[in-house]
Amino acid sequence: MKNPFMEPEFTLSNEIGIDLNFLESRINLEAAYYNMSTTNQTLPADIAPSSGFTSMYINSGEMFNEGIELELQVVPVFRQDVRVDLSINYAYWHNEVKSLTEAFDELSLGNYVYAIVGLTYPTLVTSDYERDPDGRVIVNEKTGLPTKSTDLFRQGQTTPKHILGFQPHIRYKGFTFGASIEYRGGFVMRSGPANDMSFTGISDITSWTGREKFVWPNSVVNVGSEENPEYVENTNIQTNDGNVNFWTQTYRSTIDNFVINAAFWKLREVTFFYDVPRSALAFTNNLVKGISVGFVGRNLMMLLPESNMYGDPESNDGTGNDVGYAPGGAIPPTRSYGFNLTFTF
Amino acid sequence: MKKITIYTFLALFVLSIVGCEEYLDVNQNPNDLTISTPELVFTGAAKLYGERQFMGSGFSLLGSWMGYFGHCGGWSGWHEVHSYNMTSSQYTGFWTPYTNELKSIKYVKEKSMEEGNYGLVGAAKIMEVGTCERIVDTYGDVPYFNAVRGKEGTTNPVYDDAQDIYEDLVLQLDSAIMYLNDAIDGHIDIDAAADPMFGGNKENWIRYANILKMRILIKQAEMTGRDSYISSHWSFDALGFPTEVTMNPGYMVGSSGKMNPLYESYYKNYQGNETSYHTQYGMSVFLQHLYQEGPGL
Repeated sequence: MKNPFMEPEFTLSNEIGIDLNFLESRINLEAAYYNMSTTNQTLPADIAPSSGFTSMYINSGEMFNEGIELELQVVPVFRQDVRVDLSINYAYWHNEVKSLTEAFDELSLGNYVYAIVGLTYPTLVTSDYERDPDGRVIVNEKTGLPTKSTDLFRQGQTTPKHILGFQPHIRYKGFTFGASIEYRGGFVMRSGPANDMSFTGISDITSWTGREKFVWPNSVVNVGSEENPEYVENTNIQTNDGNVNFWTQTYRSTIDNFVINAAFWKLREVTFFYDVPRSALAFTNNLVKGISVGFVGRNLMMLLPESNMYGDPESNDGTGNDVGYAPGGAIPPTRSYGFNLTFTF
Repeated sequence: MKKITIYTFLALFVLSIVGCEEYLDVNQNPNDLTISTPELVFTGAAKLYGERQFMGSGFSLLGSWMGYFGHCGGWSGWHEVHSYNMTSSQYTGFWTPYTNELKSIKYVKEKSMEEGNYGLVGAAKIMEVGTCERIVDTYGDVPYFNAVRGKEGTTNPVYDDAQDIYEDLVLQLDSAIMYLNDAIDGHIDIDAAADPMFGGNKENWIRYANILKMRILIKQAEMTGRDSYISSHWSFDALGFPTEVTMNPGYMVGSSGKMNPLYESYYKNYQGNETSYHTQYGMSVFLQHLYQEGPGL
């Protein structure tokens, strides 16, 4: 629904930075701190469809962003034939929703992503099982199955809190070697492939119990009454099903099962070049002024936390505000190798 | 000094002319119209209303629970239907009328009332009742009295008591019949081309309202303490009941976008290929007998 009472968005930002050079620029350090306060952001908010509309544009309240950026460049070796450049950069980013509208302090942006006052934006909010005060899943004494909680569970932010990059660059005579390594961490995501693979029964986890009934790991049963619950560890009550109905329905209906730690280390790029020395090209009588041979490898390695059995956290749906969802059916990341041959005339 | 004043006035004059030029106004989107005619909107709403009887969540979920059709072998799924284990995020299609035909019907009612087109007001009210009855039958308490008022600022309407809604539906049908009778007496016609259900026949709309009212009352027959309510409302317009209600806005087999959606979903698409639903759903013997031999009343 269009809203005729929209107001323009305003951003107030402050930044302070420092730039230090030592030893004839052999060591460079750049540091910056910034903060930004944005008011009246325009957002499409989900509203009750019984109002006749499913979403409505609103001016949200205030959003506060702050971050630190550090970059250190060192040249430890610098001689006639050899030069080593090392560059490390780190970024920290934090934000907080200060206020939304007068009517509500939570706002759904679709795909289980919310803006919640007092928390980072975007925050992933999903369904979860009923749990006891220690966080253990409560299962039914007859069916052995957990109950989906009516409350929604706040999983965490879907944008990285820490980004760390490392770029070494080494040159020895005509040879150059470069690489780019990156870490991103401190955020969660919801995996569409995990959901799809559980539906079709091809994800690893669906085979852990041999598709037979099983005792829910680390679960408890309530032996007390509903008012005065008393939880004891469940060691023998099996789920009433461990096959198609369980994995396609019970397991899939609780989105908590598909929320994973989105952290990763990536070896994004490795380059290796060789420039043929000009003296070796003298026989061409200055026709060829330079030849360069090189190999480039991209996306060579990805290290993921154990909980992420499903793939690249960067295959996000992220075109809108609802960052934090890797859709099923996306093309998996590809590793590529390239070969370069350059002639200069 | 005088020159400066003259130039200033000239400059202001030029500015004022340019500033008023309409081609500079980019705030009007010619592809996003904000007004229509009640007749045009009515046709769309009536088409949806008719199709809703056989399409969407209502048909695929309630149809299988009622035993009208079964899910065929060779396909996996419908576990939630078979185990009656539904969550609030499944089969949400029951809510789409709120953002669709109910919104259109509201527009038709308001505009036709302004224009004094009472026949269209009555017909729109009847469709509103039919739509809301289905939502109440499925869910019980639902938003009704404050529903479809997002533009007025009600973005989160309260849920009304199902009994209150049911009683209001009967009142709305009585009022719809009054509007249609007014239109008959005042010779106000419903545009035949705008009405895919009855071709503008106001008498048939009244007959249809009669049977809707009877259905709503019969549904309460088994409830305790409703006898006096039912008997006090058990009165119908003298025109009687319809023999048949059909809706055809001009369906054409083999024409993309103009097919009967029941045929297109459950049998063959416009290219003549069998749809996947055709092998997923099978008509039950019960429904087959119902079609062949009638309801057997």
